[in-house]
Amino acid sequence: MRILVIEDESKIGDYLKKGLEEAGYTISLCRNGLDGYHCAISEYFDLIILDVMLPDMNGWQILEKIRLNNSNIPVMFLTAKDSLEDKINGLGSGADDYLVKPFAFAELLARVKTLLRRGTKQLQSDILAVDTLKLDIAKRRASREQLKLHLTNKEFSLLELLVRHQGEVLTRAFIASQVWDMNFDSDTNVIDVAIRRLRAKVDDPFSMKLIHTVRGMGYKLDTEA
Amino acid sequence: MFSSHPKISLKARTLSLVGGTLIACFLLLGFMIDAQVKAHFLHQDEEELNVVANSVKGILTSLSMAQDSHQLDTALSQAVVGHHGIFYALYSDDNQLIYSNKTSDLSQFLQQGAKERVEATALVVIEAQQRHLRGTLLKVTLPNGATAKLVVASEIDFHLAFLSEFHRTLWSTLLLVWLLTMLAAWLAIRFGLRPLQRLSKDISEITTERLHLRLKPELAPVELSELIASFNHMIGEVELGFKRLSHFSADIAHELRTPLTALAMQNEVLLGQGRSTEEYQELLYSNLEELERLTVMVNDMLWLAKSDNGLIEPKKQEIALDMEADKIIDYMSLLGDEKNVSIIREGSAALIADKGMVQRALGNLIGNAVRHAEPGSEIVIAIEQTPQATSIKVNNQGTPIPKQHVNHLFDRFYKVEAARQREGSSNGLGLAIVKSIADIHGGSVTAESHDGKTCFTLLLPTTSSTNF
Repeated sequence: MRILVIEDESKIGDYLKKGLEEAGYTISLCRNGLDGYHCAISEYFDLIILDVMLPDMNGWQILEKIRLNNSNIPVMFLTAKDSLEDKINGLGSGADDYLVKPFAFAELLARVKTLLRRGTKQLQSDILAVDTLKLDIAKRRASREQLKLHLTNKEFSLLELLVRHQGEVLTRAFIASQVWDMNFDSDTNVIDVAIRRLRAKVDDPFSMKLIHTVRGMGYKLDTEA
Repeated sequence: MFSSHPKISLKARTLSLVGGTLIACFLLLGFMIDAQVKAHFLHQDEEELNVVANSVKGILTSLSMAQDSHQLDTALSQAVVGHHGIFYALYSDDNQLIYSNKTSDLSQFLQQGAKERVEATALVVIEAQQRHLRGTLLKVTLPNGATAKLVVASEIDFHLAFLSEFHRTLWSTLLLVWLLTMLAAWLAIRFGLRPLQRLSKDISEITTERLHLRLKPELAPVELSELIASFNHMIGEVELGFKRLSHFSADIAHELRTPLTALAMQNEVLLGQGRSTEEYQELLYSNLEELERLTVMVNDMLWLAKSDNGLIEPKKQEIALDMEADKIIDYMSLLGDEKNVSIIREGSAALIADKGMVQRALGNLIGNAVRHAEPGSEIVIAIEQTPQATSIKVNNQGTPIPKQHVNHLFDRFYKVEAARQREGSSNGLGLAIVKSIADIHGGSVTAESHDGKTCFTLLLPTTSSTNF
């Protein structure tokens, strides 16, 4: 998967490239708007990550020109001003997603994956499995090593979210919004408590641990840490 | 406000207005007086000439037909006695002079139409031998029964001389009065505007360092007191905002300094000598956690700053408050269970408000309640509603908050006990955000604490019809 990153701030650009490459993507990095635009129309990419504030051409202009070229490639905006939120949210901006700086890299990675998955419709399987863990989505039942796990409704939702995003780091804010529909930064450690309880049922009785804490970022479910 | 002619001074405007009006008034006055005086003279002449004409007519009728022309002359010469500057002459129908009391030639009057009697409207002025005469032509009957023409006229040079002198005096007096009035007006404006200059000087002394200064309404005229009151009110608001802003900046600096010091020191010490990979990893993780906390704090502060500046628009929608509360309770119960604290809801309500903000306010209040609840106690969320207002009370049992702190609970970064570190991950902005959300919705939030119970009350308008 090829991603074009147009970002003038050198440190952010460098680390976006490094981080995304380590996540398995092929990255082209442009440090100004004009180069970025030429790159975008002359080569094929699966996704463009675009900084709104660029010194020569701003993100809106680039996006407009790309769309004029009749391309519906997914575009994600990065912005330092959350006053632009409404503008980006507004109809017709043409952006598929946006992130306000400062953002967590895990958050960016999760959104990139979502955008790339879009279009390639995946059949939502009824049975999910990771290692010996099995989830029956329709019956909302979970089992591990053939043993039934007694989960509450929310615990099941949380586990399902982790399994569906296997290998991705999920931030606490993301988990809160997906499982509990809490769309604000809470200054509490509810998610930590919820994960601890889930672990007690899913991981503690078994030697193979699936739920991992990624310090400073969030949690992920995977067969390896 | 002064868009049309911003540069014309108040003084010039007033003076031109006063001056123009006065000129118009004085012109009107002058012409009226002039017309009255002229009419007066005309009337006087008419009466005098009437007397003369009647006298001449009387003589003509009293004389018998037989008398000769000499006798006629004598009789006519006595017709007017005691009148000066009176001219009269008798002409036959074919304009032959029969008699004239003076040598002056009055024949110019013969061109007028002859009248039965002296009428002011029929009086004309002629110039004959350097004299100005006002007179008229009359029909008369001679003793011999023939009709004849009588000219009666009065010399008006004296009147004219008086009138021209009168004109001069009148117009020069009016001019003088006009000049004096303008001077008075100019002085009045000059002194009248002096309080404004003083005001301007006082205002120029107010700077950001001296925002406590106020204008003194007792030193200015009554008309300006309202302006001064408004100005003082404005400065009061500015001072308050400025103070709040500078306190907030100081707080921010303080709150950021501690974690920044920790970060810098930790990095310096660990980089001081070679470490194992695990130690570097630990350092980076620790940095990340600290930075995460800083990010949340900065985001919260930015949100508060935006709400202070009225940049946050609530997205109004109908909310089933009981359902929202239950969702948050479900979420927060995870924390409650840890302390064996149960959370229950009483009452229900539907209101129009910003869903995300109400969720956040409730989340912060309940999170705060759980944090301070006595282990094993119960937190009660009581919802009550009237058509105007919806109140949400969050009650918890725990150490009461000392009275002097209750009013400051919603201040940013406020700590009840200065020495004590904040519990858990609270950054000291949660309750300030609740207050901002209440303000944005035109509601309020209050706290009370006694007998081991603490209660926060969030009051929101039920509908958004009021200035949302």
